[in-house]
Amino acid sequence: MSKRSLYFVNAPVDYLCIGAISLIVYAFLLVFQREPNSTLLTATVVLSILVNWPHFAATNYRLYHSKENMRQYPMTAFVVPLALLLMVALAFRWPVAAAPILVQLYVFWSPYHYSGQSVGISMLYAKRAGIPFGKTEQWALKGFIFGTFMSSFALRASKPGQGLFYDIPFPSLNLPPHVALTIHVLMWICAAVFLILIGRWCYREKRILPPIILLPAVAQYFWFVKAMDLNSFIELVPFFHGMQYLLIAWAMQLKEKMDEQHIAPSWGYVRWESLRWMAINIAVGAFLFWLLPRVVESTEIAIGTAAAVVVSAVQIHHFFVDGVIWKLKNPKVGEPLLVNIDEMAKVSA
Amino acid sequence: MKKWLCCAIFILGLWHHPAEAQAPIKLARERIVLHTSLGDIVLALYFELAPAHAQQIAQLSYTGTYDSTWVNYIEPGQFFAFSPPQDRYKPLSPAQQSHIKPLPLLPSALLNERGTVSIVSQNTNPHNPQHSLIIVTGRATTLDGKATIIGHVERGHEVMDRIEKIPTDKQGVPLQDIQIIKTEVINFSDQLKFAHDEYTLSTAEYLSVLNTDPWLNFFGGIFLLGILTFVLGRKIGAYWLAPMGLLIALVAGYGLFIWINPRAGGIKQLSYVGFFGMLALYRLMGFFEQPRKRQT
Repeated sequence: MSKRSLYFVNAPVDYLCIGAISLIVYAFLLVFQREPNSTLLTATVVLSILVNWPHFAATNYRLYHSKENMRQYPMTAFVVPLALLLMVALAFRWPVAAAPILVQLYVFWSPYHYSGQSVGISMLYAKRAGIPFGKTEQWALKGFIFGTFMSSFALRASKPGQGLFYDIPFPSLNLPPHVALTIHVLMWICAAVFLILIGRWCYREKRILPPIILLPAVAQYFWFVKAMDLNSFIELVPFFHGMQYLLIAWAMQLKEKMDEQHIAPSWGYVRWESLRWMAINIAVGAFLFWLLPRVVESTEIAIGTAAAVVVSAVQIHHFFVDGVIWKLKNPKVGEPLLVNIDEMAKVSA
Repeated sequence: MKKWLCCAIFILGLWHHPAEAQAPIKLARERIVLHTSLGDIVLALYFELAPAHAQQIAQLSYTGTYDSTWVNYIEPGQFFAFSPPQDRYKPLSPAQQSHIKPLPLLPSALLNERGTVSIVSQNTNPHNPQHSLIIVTGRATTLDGKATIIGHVERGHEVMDRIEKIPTDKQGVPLQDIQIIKTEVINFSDQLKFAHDEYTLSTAEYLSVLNTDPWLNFFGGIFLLGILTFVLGRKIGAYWLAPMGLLIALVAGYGLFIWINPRAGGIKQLSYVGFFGMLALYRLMGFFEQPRKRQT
């Protein structure tokens, strides 16, 4: 039996998608462009259409493309959208009172979701590397990753004034500043505990931890803590998150379809299925984020309000679906995620 | 004896105070602050009396649509009016433009008395196209039945008087430029901070607000029901029950946050509940649904 590869594609591609590209861009923007300019904003829009919107669409595709999946998760597939429709209706009925809170729920949920994904990716690479994380290691890693977002958001919530998403302002919670400081200290304690435990494991096993396992945590630290005053970089964080997601969802799609339809491995299959899948996701993404707000606008709701509410609801739906369909403990999810591109592209000799 | 008589008259006076006889007008929780070039004016809106109008004015204020509008007419002893947003100095953005929707004239039993805030609605005054804000400085009989009353001036009466005294030409156009530099919508929590300058609300007063609010009790009750349903569903292994409980908790949690978040700035404990409550809600939703086992 050949040794399983650590990477989905290969080291450079996996490193770039999982977080290295964000670190390179961070360094570049820190030196050359600290504030967003028109070029950067145009690039952000293009990247949203090509990466960020499709990443939301990929979730919907995964849940809704087969009856089997919908039967497996009927509540998520059918009841969650109804509950969200109710919340959207409340937001449109009371745009001053209810819409800002829907937006705030999304704005806070989003980095929480990013953190969940970063933890999941670290665990996935650890599994691929055959490194068993104990409960304490897992808790310490989660503490650090969730701490990055919680400390920065607590800091933001401690500043007076209002945030703004499209045309919808949402209130600050006016959290006392010591909350952010406390979370920040706890975050570093978790990092220290994790590194000590991992260092001990490396020494005992005489092995080196593959850096890609730590990369999501490092990237997350830059996204939420280091980049707090680098406005040009903040604009791109959803793109980096989308890159991580698309790599894994793409590998999963190829492997699942190949197994379900008993397709023989070939580069032709990988190429055409990748193109088909990406084209669907770009189209669905454009429907969700571009067309849907405009359909709502045609009912005489201002585009700023329509976009804010619809986009918030679409993203909350994504958080739900992701939380349900990507449980690594589920063997139907965990097993295909150990795949490498060569297994699907080359017929083994 | 004189002291007792004075007290009795005072109590009787309170008893028969005309304000007691009138049904109170419910005010919106938010306040609109007009930062004018002559000082700040704080407006309280009547959300129940003119809901569509008040909502649109709040929306226009949120989006800065009234910024750089200017006083275009003064009727001494009666009122002054700001220019409609379409005539403001800074051109409107397409988003701001899209918020301006026609509003019909809404008659009410209220009169245009000092401190009243009205807006000119469709086809009521050719000189003041719609959405123009009017602040009444005296008894303005000319406006009765011609402008929709949307609220009153809560603070800044002295600024109102200062504007009214600005000399005008024969057409009533002021000879000095008076602009709204910026509009701001402040929420309940900011008002509490505002109120702290004059008096301090005790913890008991805060708690009495919490205890008596029916919406808080309603959403709190539904939220607990959702959690209990979730716990019960997991305990007895009923497939639909646990996620249904979580969805009920999510919708009720949304209702709770609508109540909590705007108040959080004024009450420290509520800001903790708002922040950690949201995190707990997200964590809870992580337990949402397990894959359904196939029926054999």
